[in-house]
Amino acid sequence: MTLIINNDHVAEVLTMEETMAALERSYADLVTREAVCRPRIDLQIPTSDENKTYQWGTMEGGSMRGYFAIRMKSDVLTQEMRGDIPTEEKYCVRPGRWCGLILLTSIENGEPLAFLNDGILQHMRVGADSGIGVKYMAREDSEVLGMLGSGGMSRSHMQSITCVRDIKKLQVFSPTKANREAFAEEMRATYGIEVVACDAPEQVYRGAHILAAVTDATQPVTDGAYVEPGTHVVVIGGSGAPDDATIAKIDVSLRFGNAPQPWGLDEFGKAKSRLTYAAMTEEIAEKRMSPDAKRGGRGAVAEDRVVWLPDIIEGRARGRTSDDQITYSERGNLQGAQFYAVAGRAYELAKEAGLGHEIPTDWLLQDIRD
Amino acid sequence: MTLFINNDDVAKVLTMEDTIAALEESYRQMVTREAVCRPRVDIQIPTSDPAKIYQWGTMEGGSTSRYFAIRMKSDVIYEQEYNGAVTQEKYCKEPGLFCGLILLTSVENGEPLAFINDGVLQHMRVAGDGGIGVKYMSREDSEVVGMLGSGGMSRTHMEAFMCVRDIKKLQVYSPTPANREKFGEEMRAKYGIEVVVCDNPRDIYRGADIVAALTDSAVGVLNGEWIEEGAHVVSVGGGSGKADDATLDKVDLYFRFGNAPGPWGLPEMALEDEYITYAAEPESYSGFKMKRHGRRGHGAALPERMITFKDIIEGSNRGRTDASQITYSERGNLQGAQFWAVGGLVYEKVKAAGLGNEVPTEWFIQDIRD
Repeated sequence: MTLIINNDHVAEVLTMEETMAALERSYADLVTREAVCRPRIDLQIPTSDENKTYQWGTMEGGSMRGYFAIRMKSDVLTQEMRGDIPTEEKYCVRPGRWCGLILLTSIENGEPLAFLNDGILQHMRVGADSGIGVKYMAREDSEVLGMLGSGGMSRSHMQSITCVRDIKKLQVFSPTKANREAFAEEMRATYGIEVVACDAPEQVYRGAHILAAVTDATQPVTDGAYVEPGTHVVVIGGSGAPDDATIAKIDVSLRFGNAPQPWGLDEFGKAKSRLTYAAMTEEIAEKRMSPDAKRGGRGAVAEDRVVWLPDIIEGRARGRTSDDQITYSERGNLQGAQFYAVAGRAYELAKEAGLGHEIPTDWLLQDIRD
Repeated sequence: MTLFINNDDVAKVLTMEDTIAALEESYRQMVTREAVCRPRVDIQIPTSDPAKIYQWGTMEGGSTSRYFAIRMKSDVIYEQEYNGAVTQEKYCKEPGLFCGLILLTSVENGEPLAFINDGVLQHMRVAGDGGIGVKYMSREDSEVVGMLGSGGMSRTHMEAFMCVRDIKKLQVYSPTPANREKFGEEMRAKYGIEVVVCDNPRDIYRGADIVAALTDSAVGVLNGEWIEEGAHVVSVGGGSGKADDATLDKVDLYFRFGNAPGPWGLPEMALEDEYITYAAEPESYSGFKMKRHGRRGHGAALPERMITFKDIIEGSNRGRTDASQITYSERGNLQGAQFWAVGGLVYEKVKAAGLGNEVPTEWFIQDIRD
């Protein structure tokens, strides 16, 4: 039987500790080439509504340890203003529903083992990466966390960052007052720490050892003018990078790695955050495509100040070398190496716990070869 | 509900005429940029058996006219020698079973509409291309088909050729006498034409207006020396999937349907490659002949003698100009443009006929956004 594992099942079995351990192992296996992944590839196709674009996106990778996975996203995108911030909204079938699906297979015999909804896992894997960045780059004595955003990603970032540092205070801002206050209340109750719901974004930077920008804005939401010495910065979301002023201030930028190159193509998609193929003319793309997709994705942030995770782990390089340095961390285009690792673990745990819907594996197999 | 559509259902509803029409429409849309696809991407990971490799492969594309599809293959591959010929073998889960799966979605709302086993559709779409090549390039009065191979691809290619030319005679060879005899008998009965079952490959070329090489041999099977004036050549499989050098030397006109576009903003990354491969342990040489270690997929075979679908649609070049010319056709790396077109058609017909297994669409979507 092939399992269909939903978000409730994943939430029941997957911990942040397991997620971070699975990811660190996968990144190490990429270095030894026992694992492989390729950059994210998106396809964009205009719908009949001129304000909506269909976007299909995939990430994939696997390892000789046993699993392969593809993550597939199938959503309709719209650009909307939230206050004066342009955000990317999306849905699948109807507003409030999204399609993110992981197909996990066995590399030993090719068998399709499970489909997993990616909602929880997605937040966990992104949060975990920030946790790994904080672990290697933030000051050991980091206590104050400044956060922009109060959605699902903010929750998983609290989980991962509190795993690796002894956080005593959270300062959070998001544009909607009710949301940031509800989030603050929840974090206060969950972690028993001091939480300040800030009225203005600049307030989150004050005295923050860690700054996490965790929003779905399509433009950078950080403001380098406010970033203080000693801060470690992580950025998640539509823009996927800090503003130029923050980048200018970064002393050391940790990048976990780049996806390997395909055979015989040394420059194809190198270090690119995404490749986008579109059923569009230049004129349509001008109106409909996000700036990031239009420029062909992006490469490393603060490229001239990058240190690589394997070099830090193996002692060939140092991350932060003083308490007043401003540091930054990002995964790089290794998304494809995350899903086999984390979904593989979630599958094992769900199976052990007897969770998931079953469909006959025979439906996915056939007796006709190509 | 999301439909699971098996090969029996596909076979019941899909005709070769419709396949050819759907593919031609998709290639037209690729020219006008109403449709999009990207090159095939493979991921290879060594299994614990040194003679076997896990291979995952995807092709994807979609159109403003409604559908998007990804085709996914998940198999363990190895090579085997049989009667002196090296063939590529594969299986999923256990020998005799294969995994080739199409996921069809709606461009209008992102909905996962169906999973379709690709066995029947795969043979139809490859043969559909053979038929399109013959339609535009072979002599109008083509009557004699010379065929190497007697498997599933040979059956669908005969169907495609019968759709577009008034074929009166088939000359077929394949290495196993029982297989070629059985195939000959079947074609005789099905089409009421003269069939000559040859006991050597040489004889299929004599007087052939269309030469089709359709094998899963790991090395090329065509022999250009024997190709006669006026013939049109189609080649599927046979190692690289490309005709041998002696054949290519003789070809006067090469019809390549087209190339996948480059990723947006990265025109230098547009590829003609039939596939690109990312590999774990890229140095662990398996000795495979079929997909040779470290090699790129082939690109345009004869760029200086090439015409494309764009030329045909725009009327700038309509193909063969002389009955004695030797012509050759192949799709190019547009595989991704085939599955939405043919899969969409299958879905509509299966749905109308009330076929397929239903699974709740809710299992594949979620209320957590990324």
